[in-house]
Amino acid sequence: MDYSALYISGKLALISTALLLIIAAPLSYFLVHVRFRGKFFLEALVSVPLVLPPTVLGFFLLIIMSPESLPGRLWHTLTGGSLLFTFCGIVVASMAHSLPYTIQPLKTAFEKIDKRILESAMVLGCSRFNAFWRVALPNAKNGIVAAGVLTFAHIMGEFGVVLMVGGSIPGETRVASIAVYEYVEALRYREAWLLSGALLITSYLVLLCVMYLNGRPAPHEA
Amino acid sequence: MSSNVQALERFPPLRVAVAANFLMPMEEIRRVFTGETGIELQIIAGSTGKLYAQIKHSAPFDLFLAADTKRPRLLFEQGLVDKPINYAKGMVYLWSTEKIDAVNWQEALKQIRTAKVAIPSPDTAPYGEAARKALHNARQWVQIENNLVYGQSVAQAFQFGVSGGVKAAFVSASYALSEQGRKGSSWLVSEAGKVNQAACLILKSNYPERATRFLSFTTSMKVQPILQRYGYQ
Repeated sequence: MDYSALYISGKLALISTALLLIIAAPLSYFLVHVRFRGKFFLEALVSVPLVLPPTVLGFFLLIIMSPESLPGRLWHTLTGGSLLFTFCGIVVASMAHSLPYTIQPLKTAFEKIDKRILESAMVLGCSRFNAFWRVALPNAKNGIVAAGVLTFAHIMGEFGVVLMVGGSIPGETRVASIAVYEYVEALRYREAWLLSGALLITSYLVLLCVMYLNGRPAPHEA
Repeated sequence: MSSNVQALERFPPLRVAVAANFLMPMEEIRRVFTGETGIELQIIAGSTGKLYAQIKHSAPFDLFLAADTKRPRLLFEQGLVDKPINYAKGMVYLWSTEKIDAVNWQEALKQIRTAKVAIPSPDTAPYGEAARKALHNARQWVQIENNLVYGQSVAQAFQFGVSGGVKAAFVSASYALSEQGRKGSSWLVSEAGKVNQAACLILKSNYPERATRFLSFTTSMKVQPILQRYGYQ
């Protein structure tokens, strides 16, 4: 059996989740606390990958990452390689696809924080950044972990987008969900069962984890 | 010899993009080739059309074994691959999951008329294109069109049959004559003609020498018994 597929899925999910949390945490905080005209449009834009068919997103990414496009050429000058059909490429693709799955729980977590403690912090001389870094983030800990777990799970199940920009190259871009699809097509049901079983167990554990975290009170409420 | 094999093992495996119909013989050829040369191969199977699109978008493959001659030629004209060579000639079969008593494929189709029949997508799979041509030539297309289910490749069309989703499928000889295929019955679709399959070296390959070595191996006499066993010429 192709164990590398599980490894690739895990590695992809870990790296993309970490990068997404770094990007999404300040973005979500911004969306919760900063008011500006047209915020509504930005919020909708951020959620587009939630409703867009993965193949449509994959198609756009295929065009954007192609060596003939501007971003593709830029990447080529920076790294000397192509983004398409590489591990870096599927990291970018799964980040684009999973962004709303990270943003939503983070926004909820930031909204739950009592505004008064943020205001108190600023009255006591905290800068806006420090209020985010030293007050909001620690208080949103459960939400951050939940966002991470949910994003991780979503990327483990990534299929359409990764197939379109990754092309199922063993040991590089063939993730577990694609390997299952190809095992079924090749009538290798035993391997398909094994991999599917592994994915089922991971998914269940992830959900248990999320439910446990959501059920626990946030630190400042305790 | 052993030091030679060790020296070669330091290279990453060659990446061979293979049309789905050729997957089973390819697995056998890989065993023989790797045993003989120590060169490891990584097989990426899919429909010819999909692999063609990926190569056009600079997928990191070393070789392309297509199910037609058209797409390797197009890649050659675009300067992406070396001159293609023909490596196999395949045939289209109508294969049914059950033992059906029929003298030819048209007769068999009549018997299963109301059931679903799988065909590889004619746009991406050359065997599907050939099957469609045969259905047109035999004036069967109009009657059967509404019962057709499209698989992305020969492999998927066959899998639809094995999993019980359809009663019959248009596939390559390699699947119709496989162990699983022989559990049902199959008929040659002569109207589809022979499917010429071409292979080519991708010019971006980092290991053109080893890739060329594999290419000449696939056209050598050594693989002929394997090709014949899977119904290729």
